[in-house]
Amino acid sequence: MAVAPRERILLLALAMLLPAFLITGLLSRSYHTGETALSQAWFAQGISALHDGNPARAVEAFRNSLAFHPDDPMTQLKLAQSLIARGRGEEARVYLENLLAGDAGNGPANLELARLASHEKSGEEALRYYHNAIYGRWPEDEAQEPVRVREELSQFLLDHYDIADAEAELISLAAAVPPDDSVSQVRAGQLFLQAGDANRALREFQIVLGAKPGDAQALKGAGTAAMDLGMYSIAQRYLLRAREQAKDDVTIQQALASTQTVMSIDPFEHDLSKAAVMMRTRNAFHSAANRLQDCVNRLPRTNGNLPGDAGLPTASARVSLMAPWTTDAEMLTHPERTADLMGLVFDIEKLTAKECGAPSGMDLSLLELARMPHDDSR
Amino acid sequence: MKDDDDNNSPSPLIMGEPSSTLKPIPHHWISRIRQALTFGEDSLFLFLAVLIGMFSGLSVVCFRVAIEWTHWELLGSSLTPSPWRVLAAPTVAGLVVAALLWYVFPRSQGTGVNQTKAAVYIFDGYVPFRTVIGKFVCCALAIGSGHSLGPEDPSLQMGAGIASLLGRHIRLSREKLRLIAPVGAAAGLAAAFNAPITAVIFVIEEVIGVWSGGILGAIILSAVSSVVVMRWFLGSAPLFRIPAFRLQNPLELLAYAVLGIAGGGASIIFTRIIAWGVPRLRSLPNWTHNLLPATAGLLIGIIGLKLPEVMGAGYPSIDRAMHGDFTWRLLLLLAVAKIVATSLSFTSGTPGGMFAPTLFIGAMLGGAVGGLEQHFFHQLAGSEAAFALVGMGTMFAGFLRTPITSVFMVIEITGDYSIILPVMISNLIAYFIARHYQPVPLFDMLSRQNGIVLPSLEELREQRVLRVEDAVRDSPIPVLHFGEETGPISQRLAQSADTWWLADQPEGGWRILSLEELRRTAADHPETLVSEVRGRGPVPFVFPDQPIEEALRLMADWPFLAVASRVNRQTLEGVISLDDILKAYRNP
Repeated sequence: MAVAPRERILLLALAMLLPAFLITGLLSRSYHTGETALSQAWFAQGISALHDGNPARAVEAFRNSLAFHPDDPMTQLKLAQSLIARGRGEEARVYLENLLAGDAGNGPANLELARLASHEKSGEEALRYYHNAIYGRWPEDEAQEPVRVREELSQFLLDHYDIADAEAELISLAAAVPPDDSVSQVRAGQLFLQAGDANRALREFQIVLGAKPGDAQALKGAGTAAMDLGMYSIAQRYLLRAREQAKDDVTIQQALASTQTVMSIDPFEHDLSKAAVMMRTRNAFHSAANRLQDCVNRLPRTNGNLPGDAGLPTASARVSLMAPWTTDAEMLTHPERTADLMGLVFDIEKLTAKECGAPSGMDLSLLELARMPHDDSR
Repeated sequence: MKDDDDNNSPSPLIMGEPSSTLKPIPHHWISRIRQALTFGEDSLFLFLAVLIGMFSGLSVVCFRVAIEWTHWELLGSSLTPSPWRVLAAPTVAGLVVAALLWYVFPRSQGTGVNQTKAAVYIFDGYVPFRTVIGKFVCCALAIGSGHSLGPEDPSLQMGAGIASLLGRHIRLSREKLRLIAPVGAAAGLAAAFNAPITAVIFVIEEVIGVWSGGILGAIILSAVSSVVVMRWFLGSAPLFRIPAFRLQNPLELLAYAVLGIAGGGASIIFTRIIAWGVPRLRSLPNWTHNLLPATAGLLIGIIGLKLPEVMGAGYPSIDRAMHGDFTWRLLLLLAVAKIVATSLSFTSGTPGGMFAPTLFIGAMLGGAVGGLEQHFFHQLAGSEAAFALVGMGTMFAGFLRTPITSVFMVIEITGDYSIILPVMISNLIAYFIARHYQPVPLFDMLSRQNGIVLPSLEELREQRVLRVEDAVRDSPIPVLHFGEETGPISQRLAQSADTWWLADQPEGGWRILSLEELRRTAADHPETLVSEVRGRGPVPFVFPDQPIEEALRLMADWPFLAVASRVNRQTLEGVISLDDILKAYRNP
């Protein structure tokens, strides 16, 4: 077949396209392989630097990795975390916002932004990012991470004295924690304790103890929650078990000591003899009276009058009135006056704590008794 | 019918007959194949454009891979290479590049844009293929080793070279051969930039200067096919990640205007440094020329010890600038350092392009101006990243003097039309400032320094076009109606000094009648109608707004042309003669 020169050149050019494509394909494949290998090597160096606590080196390594794969979300996230660790939050924010521009539901990026906002005292922004993180996508551990973020959010709210919102989050948290995740349950219980919801806290700890009776943190938490609820004997039982599990934990020993002190001065403790009730009531009365006197003496006077309302003089008057009731004879004759005497003791402890600062020793234990509900559960 | 029957009959091979019974391919099949392979010149040009685009795309992919490999081997894979590499790599590469330019590829120096323009206007589309290879090797080595140059201009020239090679071998007509280099240039630039629209507009704005339908189709085809091939191998990711842009306050436009002023100033400084440096370094003794790229490399290495970001094309740093990685002080320092480093590389004769450095300087300057404005006028300025983005276009407009390309470039790489207002404001301010204080654009200046006077497309664009209305004769020619008798006008004819008269025609248009013929007819046969008088017509007509060259082309041996109204073609607005045209040229 005779083909004209122009057509021959066209055919030749077309035929050359195939080997040209093949060669270019091989070259570009080799290039991409090299690029990926270098990117991964730098990424690994960055992770290692982060683990070694060297965020400066991590930043450099992740930047080098990003130069090969600029859109890699994991590298961007790690770079942002390294930048935050170096205190360069503004730079990190750019990477994180870039991540969100591509994937608004990126859980880790939202969480980091929430932390940045929290650090910058931008409460509303932090709340928005925390919620985005909770309902966002998590590449690893999709079940656990939202729970941890909610824990962090609850802590953030507690730190900002937003107790009502914190409690709402904690209730959601308690519902979301998987039954086999004792660590999160304990953490939820501790957060409930911080929020002042000792009832829910105790319930969380008891759930953990149902599955893991020897969990020291749950025992300690349950003991503390029981103390807050005024259930000292129950608290003591939990704390004794907690001490067995964690003998070196000083806080458990302190809580136990505090419980035992309170139990040793409480005249309403069950199964006490009449003599013991009388003795505890008298001791409490004298301690409170001394505390009141001490407080009155310490406070400066204006024109001979004590500052504040008329609480302190009234209490002093009531002490003078009720002091004769503390003799053995009076107390044996009128055992019903124990409640009135202890009522005065609790009033004095609350009043002096307000006017003269936190008490110590026995007065502190009496104050704790004063603050708890008085019912038969003790 | 016979043909159809033959077409439908199964092939002997399919029937499974022994090979000995194979018949030769029918003659009409050969004719059809030949017919299919035979193109008209125009179709061939378009087909060739696709082919050129594919080859250019492939070459650009290989070029980019070569640059990256060279970079990894010489400078390592870190963004902050070790000091000895930073000093040694560009210095040694400079020596090798100089030797290659001296002994093997002497024509690979200079800018690809000017060489492509020279191919179009001087060398009938000829771009030596050795230059393509030279650009590939030398630029990969120079850019990969850290010289402050970009890969776009060499890619443009490689595309032009491939196109020229194919065009020559296919024996295109001289006219088409001249146009084939810009087709390849667009393909090369499109693949290098990953931006076909920008490449097409740049080639039209800077290389060929005309929007002709014939060439536009070929340029678009080649640009698109090269980008498709490039994306096939390297992916469709842009050269840098683009931050989200949002104009929050219209007053921000003032801040972008300030960026335009800064960009214009930087463009003038950058152009003048190069204009000053090129002839001075060239005037040094010949033996020193071999050492210039290495010396430039060493100096760039010294800058790179403190600011490694200025080495090479610098795309990763542009990306970082657009994501707020640098403070405004560092951005300003990087912009200044890049101007110095690029001037060193370019004036030393190291081959490579100015596009990437221009974008780098623009991004850094933009970020710095944005940061500075944010510092002082927090409410007025957008993010530094947005300023970096707009800054790229600003510098492109001011330094390369391609205002239309600069606007489309930013829009194409961002894919965001909301950025158009700040881009237009900033780019045009930079462009006008640069043009005012530096009347000769960079590429024209470089070609003139080489002793070649290529047409300045900026000057051509701004040249005053003489139009028919500038030459139309003031005193109108007498016009007769075709239905008039000649007798009644004999007195007018007797008093007239006009040699030629016009007469309208029933079918439209005008005829030219000579005064002599009219007088004779009026005297001999006064009842004769004007339409019956012997004359020439219809006389060609032009419109007042048409360029005067078109009137000249139609003039032939007509004593004058009619100038018709665009509102009503039957309304005569005047006439234009050769004398009128010459008068207009003499007194424009």
